[in-house]
Amino acid sequence: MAVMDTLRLPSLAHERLADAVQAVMTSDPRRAQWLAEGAAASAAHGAEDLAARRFQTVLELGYLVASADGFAASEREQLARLLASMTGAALPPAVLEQHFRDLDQAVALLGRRERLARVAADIEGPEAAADAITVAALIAFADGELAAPELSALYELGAFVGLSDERVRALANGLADRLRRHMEATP
Amino acid sequence: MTYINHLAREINCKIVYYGPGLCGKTTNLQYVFEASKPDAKGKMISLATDTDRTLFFDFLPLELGSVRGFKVRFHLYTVPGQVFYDASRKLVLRGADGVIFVADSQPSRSEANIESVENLGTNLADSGQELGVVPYVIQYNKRDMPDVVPIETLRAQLNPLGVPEFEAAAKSGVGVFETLKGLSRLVLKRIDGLPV
Repeated sequence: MAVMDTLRLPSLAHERLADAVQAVMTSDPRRAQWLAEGAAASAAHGAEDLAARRFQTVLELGYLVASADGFAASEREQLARLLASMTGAALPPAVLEQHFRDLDQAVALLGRRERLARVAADIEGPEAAADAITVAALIAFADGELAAPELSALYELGAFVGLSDERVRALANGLADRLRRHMEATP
Repeated sequence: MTYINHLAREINCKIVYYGPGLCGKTTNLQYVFEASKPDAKGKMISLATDTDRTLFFDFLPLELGSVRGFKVRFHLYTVPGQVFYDASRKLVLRGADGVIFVADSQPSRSEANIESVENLGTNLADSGQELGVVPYVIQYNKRDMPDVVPIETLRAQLNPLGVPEFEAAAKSGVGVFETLKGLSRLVLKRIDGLPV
């Protein structure tokens, strides 16, 4: 049975939290590279190449997890700035905020669980699955916590991509620890 | 309720296959899925709900080209099999940009067809939509079966609005794409005026 409590980060200024999320997100050079390449390809070609599609897939999964407990205007704005920064400003915050509004429509039209299942179906292989969970969890952590509904959405995503609740929880716990360590180490 | 994905440069439309149990909705969906180009479609998803399951997939009909620089992605949905729970049918209709009513041409299914088309009107009205305002076509399926109901009778029973109608034998693919194209034309006409 999956544990559904909230994983909270220390309450610090938003800038320090954003720094920590960006640092952990880009600590894996391979992930940092495909995120940046995907954002640049999305800006240039829409969804016409693999890098763009991979980026947009993971971005939507992040949105679906992060918005599971609501998605306030301030949270959208902060997240758009953070994503723009970690992808080398290939996509300006305004474009990302527009994208979140488009994804709101997608959920209203097609259903949240249906979108989660559909987008997760594009994730292939255990490495891509762990990457997707990691990016989605970090996007959700950008407001300072991984709330129970977000964790629940993460477990559901895990089920769709073939990762057990225990594995998803271990990934989330590991990310929370790394974020806390980064925040403690950074003045 | 079309939505535009500005980042992907795609207009997204939801099309729902509706009709009585075992009329061929899933067969239609599977035929379109199998005939679509692999690089232009997503995976077929069968998603269990509390009471039954929803079947859907999306694809880019490349031959449609684009609408003012945006590609059009169709999301095809149905609630397959014998659906006893009206809530599922209501949910799948939510946000539909177009509806294909699949009728079963066998005489024994006449009552089920009528009940289902009435239920479609009721459920659309409940979600603030109206048959005929929402792009809508009818497919008379299973025309390859022996002793089918004449088209004139089906028309009188099921198509008082005079919407476009198509004969089909979905199992062998006959009429499947003609039906979808018939609806697509209506959906595209409706979205052509959208601000992008």
